[in-house]
Amino acid sequence: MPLAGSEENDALTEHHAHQEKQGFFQRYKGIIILLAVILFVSFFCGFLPFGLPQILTSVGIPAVIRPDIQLPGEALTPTLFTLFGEEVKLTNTFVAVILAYIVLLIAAIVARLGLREVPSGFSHLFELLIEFLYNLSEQVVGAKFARRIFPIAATIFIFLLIANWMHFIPGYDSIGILEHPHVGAGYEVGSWNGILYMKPNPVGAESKPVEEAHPAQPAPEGEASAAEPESACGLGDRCTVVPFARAAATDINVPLGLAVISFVTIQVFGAMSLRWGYLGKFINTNGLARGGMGIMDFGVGLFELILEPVKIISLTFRLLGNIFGGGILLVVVTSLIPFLVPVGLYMFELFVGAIQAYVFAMLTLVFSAMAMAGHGGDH
Amino acid sequence: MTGDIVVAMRFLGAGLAMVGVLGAGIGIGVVAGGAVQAMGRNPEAAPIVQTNMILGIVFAESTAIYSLVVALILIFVAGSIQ
Repeated sequence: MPLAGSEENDALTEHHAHQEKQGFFQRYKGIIILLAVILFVSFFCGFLPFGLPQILTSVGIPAVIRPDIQLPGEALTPTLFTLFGEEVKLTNTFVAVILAYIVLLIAAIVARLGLREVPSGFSHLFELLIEFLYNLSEQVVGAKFARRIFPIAATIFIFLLIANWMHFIPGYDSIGILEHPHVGAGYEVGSWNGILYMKPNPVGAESKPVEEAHPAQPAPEGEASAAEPESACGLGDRCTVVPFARAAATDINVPLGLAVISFVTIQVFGAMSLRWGYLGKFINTNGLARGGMGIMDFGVGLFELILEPVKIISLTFRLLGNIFGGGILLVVVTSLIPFLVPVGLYMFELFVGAIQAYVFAMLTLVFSAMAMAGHGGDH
Repeated sequence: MTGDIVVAMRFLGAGLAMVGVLGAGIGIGVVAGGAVQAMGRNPEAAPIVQTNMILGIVFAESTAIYSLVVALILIFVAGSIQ
């Protein structure tokens, strides 16, 4: 029987021996990790955003500016024609929508051409996608109407997926036309082997508002001053960039149009399924006839009538807020820390773009299913 | 002078509008917590729970998006309206 205490001694000597056998790194692992974290943070949050752009611009390599962000789509051409009293111009979000259509059409044609006994890889990918969407619509709406509602929901999903993911092609939000700035002071334009780029303001420099650079002209003749084309902004001026293409869903018209399509789909499917009973869901005359609690059912029905157009608003702003907010986030964080951090943000925005597409299609299906059900289901 | 105060108030309003996302954060946490508990009790029902969780998260997030849109309008659109 070993002596009492000798076990501890053995353990202690073992521990010392183990420690001596460990290398330098193992023994001071905690402190080394702490030092590494401090270095990492001071590099990425101190040197990179504030020190590196200075160094790069003094050498001649441009750093990243924060461009002017506008909520409405920006016009690329002067007025093309006038429709119903509104001037129609080509906007950069419209260009993005057209590009998304072209990509979608090409993808559809290539997938169709690849359909054989054993489909090609690309067609197989589309088969997976279609199967996933069809199962989803069957599961939500029921087998009877799945076949009819599936094209609408699938088109919304695939179009939004492509339009949201095309936002990450280099050139969106960054390459465009130089124009005189309307808001703020703009950035100085430099040239590098013939390619024009924007130079960032040195840290701490005051940027004067545009009022002082271009004094506001009094407009006695309203039409004359509006019709005058703006002089082009070029090398040496302070300009701002109007991108050739922006993410399609950042213009409010794209989510609004899709939301109106969803709304019409919901109403049509509710009416197809319940016929006149669908109107009876909102104007609940049966409840009135019953009296008592039925009066409250009538009120609830009227309230649900008001809630229907709210679906358009909520669908629109969910998509717009997510995609536009994500775009602002990317642009601003890239202008602050141009290295490594935007990669994580791009991954996040990829995820958000896919989820928002899925959610839009899913909500169309779910609202249609709710419209096709009877009065709340428990009558 | 009044112009500066108006601009300052616009940005202040935008910041205050974003306080509304607090509720969305809590709501999403509640939804996800309930979903994760349900998945833990019944792992076979995980796909259906996950689908409904995504739906619940989206509904909880929509009010946060409304307040974000109000803030964005204050910052970008309201300044150019005379």
